[in-house]
Amino acid sequence: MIIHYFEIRNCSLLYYMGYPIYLAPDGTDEGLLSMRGFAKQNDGKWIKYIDRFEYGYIMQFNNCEEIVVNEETLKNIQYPPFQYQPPLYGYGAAPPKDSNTANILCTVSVSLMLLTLPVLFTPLIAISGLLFIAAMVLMIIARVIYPDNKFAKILCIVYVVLTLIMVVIGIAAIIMLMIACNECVNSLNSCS
Amino acid sequence: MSIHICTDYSFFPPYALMIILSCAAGLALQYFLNVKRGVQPMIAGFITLLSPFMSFFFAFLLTYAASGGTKNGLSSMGGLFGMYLSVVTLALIRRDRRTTSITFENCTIVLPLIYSISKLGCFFAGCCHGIPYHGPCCVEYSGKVTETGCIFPVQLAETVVFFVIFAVGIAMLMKKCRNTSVYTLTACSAAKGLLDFLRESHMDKVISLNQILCIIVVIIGIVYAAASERKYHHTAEVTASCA
Repeated sequence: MIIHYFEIRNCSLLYYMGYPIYLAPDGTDEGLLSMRGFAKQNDGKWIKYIDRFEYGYIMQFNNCEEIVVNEETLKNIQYPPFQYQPPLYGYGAAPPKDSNTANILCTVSVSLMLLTLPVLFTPLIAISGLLFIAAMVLMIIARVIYPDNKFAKILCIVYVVLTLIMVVIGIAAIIMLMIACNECVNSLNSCS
Repeated sequence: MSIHICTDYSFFPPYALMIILSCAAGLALQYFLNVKRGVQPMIAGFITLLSPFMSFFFAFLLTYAASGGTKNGLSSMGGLFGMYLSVVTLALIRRDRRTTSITFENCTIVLPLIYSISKLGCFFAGCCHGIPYHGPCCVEYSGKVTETGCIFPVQLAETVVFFVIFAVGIAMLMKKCRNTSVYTLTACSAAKGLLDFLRESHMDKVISLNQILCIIVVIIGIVYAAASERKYHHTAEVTASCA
């Protein structure tokens, strides 16, 4: 099967570590390949992971010898017919194994989250906000780059549950405060 | 015809209700658009998790810093910065060009919706109000806010204008138009900058800090859109020559 991907003609459909890719023919203009999101491999080949929209489209015509993928053809796809997900960890890289780095990231994240509480009761409230955001970001980094790490998975669930509880309590506290202020102002008005 | 609004609420504060509603609507729509357009649910979920915290943090921080540490409140420009920062954070972690452009676009599309709903809160609470005005649809507040007299309903105008921008943005997205997010952001900045002239807080100023930021965003938006259109036509020419 030959695929004409936008202006890059005669690409091949291959599978790389289980994921479908376009393989550009040798001699294609490198500037054009970079512009269309292709990445150069160590062996000098230019490849691009096929996203599920494009893959779904290509699979509709898998009996054809030539398929054209461009803006016009992709316009007609409203939703991905295949639940295929492109890899999370970048071009040509193997999925990172459960690493010690993920555990370090999670440990630092927990430490920052625990530091948030004592700082909250000092004049440096803004710092507690920064610590909270940093803790969240570290957890997200660990969860996205090391998807199999158990510590990151558990930490993600704990943070999501904590966030939900915090949002509910926060909204209730703001509303109670505003009602209390309103009552106070109303009673002052009635005094005068 | 004038509009009368009583700012004495009996139970639920309308300002808080509208801020919560705007955030909930914006985040839900952002998640839905991200997932529908092929972003992995986990990445879409992390953006939804991170953006409210970053938005509120920077919205408070900008007001606090701009007032020299004397005022507390929410700044829309700070909130905007926080929303984009959450998308940038995920883009730096994910490092995928397609996901980044989709999440940026979706974030920009939902911003006018969030602003539109939140301004209804200001309208009912009587804050951020307009210049003195006695024409049709002028607003008269009673209750806690009585000092304003008849004023221009600038918050309501902002709600309508930004909702129209949001609706046009969604329609452009459905039709897969190019540079939808750039046009939406430029339109939002232009609308915000122009409507600022109708605010009472602007009366003693020639130009406000918000307007300066809006002008910068409009200029960047126009330059980017022009460069992008030029690049698109160049690519089309290359395609034609290849074919």
